[in-house]
Amino acid sequence: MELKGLSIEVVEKDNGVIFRLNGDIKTDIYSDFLGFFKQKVEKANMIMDFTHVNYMSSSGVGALFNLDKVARENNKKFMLFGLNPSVKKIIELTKLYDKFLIYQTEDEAVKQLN
Amino acid sequence: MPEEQPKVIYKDSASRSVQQEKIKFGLKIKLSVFVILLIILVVSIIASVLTMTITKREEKQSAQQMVRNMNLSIEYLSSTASDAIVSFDDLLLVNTIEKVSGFEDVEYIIVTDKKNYVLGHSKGVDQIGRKLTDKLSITALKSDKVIIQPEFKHNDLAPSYEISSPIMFRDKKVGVARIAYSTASIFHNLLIVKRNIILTSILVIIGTLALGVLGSIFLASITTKPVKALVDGLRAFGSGDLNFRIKIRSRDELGYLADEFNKMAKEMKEYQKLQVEREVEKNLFAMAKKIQSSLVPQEDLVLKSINVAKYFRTVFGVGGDYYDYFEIGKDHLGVLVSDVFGKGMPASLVMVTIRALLHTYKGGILNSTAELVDIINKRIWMDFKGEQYATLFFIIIERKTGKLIFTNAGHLPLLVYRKSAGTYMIKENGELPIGMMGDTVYKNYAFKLEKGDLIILNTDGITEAENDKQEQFGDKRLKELIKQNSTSSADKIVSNVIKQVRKFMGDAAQHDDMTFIIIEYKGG
Repeated sequence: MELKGLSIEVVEKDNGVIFRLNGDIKTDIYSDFLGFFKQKVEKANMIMDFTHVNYMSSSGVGALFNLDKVARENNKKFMLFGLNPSVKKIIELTKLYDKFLIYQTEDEAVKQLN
Repeated sequence: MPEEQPKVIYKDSASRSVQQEKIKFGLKIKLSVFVILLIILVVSIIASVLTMTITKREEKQSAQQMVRNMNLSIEYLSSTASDAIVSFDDLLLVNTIEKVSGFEDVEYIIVTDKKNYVLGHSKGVDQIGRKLTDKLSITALKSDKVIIQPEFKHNDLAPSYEISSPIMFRDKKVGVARIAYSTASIFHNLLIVKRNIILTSILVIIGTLALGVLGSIFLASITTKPVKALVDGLRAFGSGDLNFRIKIRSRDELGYLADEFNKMAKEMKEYQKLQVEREVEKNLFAMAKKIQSSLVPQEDLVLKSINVAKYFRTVFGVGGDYYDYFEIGKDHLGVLVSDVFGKGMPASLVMVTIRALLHTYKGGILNSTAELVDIINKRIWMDFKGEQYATLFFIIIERKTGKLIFTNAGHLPLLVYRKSAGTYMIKENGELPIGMMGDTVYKNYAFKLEKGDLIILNTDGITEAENDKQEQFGDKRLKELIKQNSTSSADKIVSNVIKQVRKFMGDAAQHDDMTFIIIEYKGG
């Protein structure tokens, strides 16, 4: 699966899905990114692997916020892990760092599924 | 804003002009004629073969029957004549001749003595006593056995035959008996047989024709019905009715063809739908772009204490950036930069809402940028039900003193280049982007400008600008460039930076809106 400069790998887990992202989350990807993940997070717990995301725009943070909102409305968990400093920085700058379930490692996030 | 209806163009005007042409000789007629001709040909061949074989057989059988009759009658004639000659019984001879001449097909009867003098003749008593010298008579006289003249060939009958037999009495030849037979009745019979066969053939032809025509019409309608269905379908497609489906049940080539046409119509329909959607989307984007461009100030601002220079470039299909700057009263300057997430119409509507609120409230908010951002946030959050977000940076500068207050809703931090110190000053204070939460409390943050300070306001579009190697222009490069150009005036800095950004991008396409503003504080 490939969205404008971002490839997505899907890993099914017992109680949720891990999406391994690879590439950049730029401004022009916003609608496609949101459209793709919104329908997923309605149905299952979602973990996003940010290990290989080098850059995210502030609109990317907006998309994550929306996904987090949809997850909460559907009683699903929406988690992130593996954020590199620049991605972490942009989430902090948009003052949304505290809003998300962010974990250091995959294991920590997966543990939350059970 | 004038309302533009999306133009939907159906590109099938050429196919609409397809005329309904009349079919002159339809498949049905052609097939029927062909079948009829075939039947006539077959029956004619059968009839002529039948005529040939039947007449040949009939001819042979009739000839054999005649030969049998000839032998029987000559045997009867010669034995009776023998008695009559020996006993000189003329009456018996005459009676016998008369009796035999009553047999079927007999032409004449001659009885001669052993020297060929006529003793009795079926043609009358005046022939009696005459000596016969013709070739036929001489051959008959000379023969010691029953002969037929001319030679009998049952497949090539002569008009008449004469059978002759020596009349014997106690092994001595006493005369010759001769009977001539006509084959006329055989030929007559054959003619009748031939006529019957021809009559029967004609009846058969008429009968099979009647059946054949009915059959071929039936066959042709089986074949032409799907063809007609195909033609109707293509006509419907041609006139733009892509919902039409050709219904052919038969699983032959025509059925397959119909399936293919139906599939084609379906694909064309989907393609058309896609085209229409694209067209509508294109129009919406064009409209959004128009709205966006009409909302922002076009001219740089040059005031006694402050210069504002800007670069603004929208990208087709990507909504997003909005900026504005305006004097508030005599002493203040307001600058707002916003990056709306998403694209198209919704993004444009968010922008219009921000602008409307900004221009309604800008007069009464000298001491609190947060107050306005609060109003905008609540309105956007309510109107768009928490689904549309934007970053927003709002700043009010007191021109005389350089005191500024700002509110940052999720936007890039305040970035100031202090020329006197040669350093950047960054203030990362701020809150959430607008539209996310209705109860976010936005705050005022203060900063004091010094003479020569440059405030840099931009959106992601500048730092995200990519070259063809997918490298981003980035934060560092931008800061470095501004530093290098810091001695120039605001508009020069902007144009130099943009020149470098463009150079960096090369031929790569621009993905996002770009907004770049430099506020140069010249001191009060």
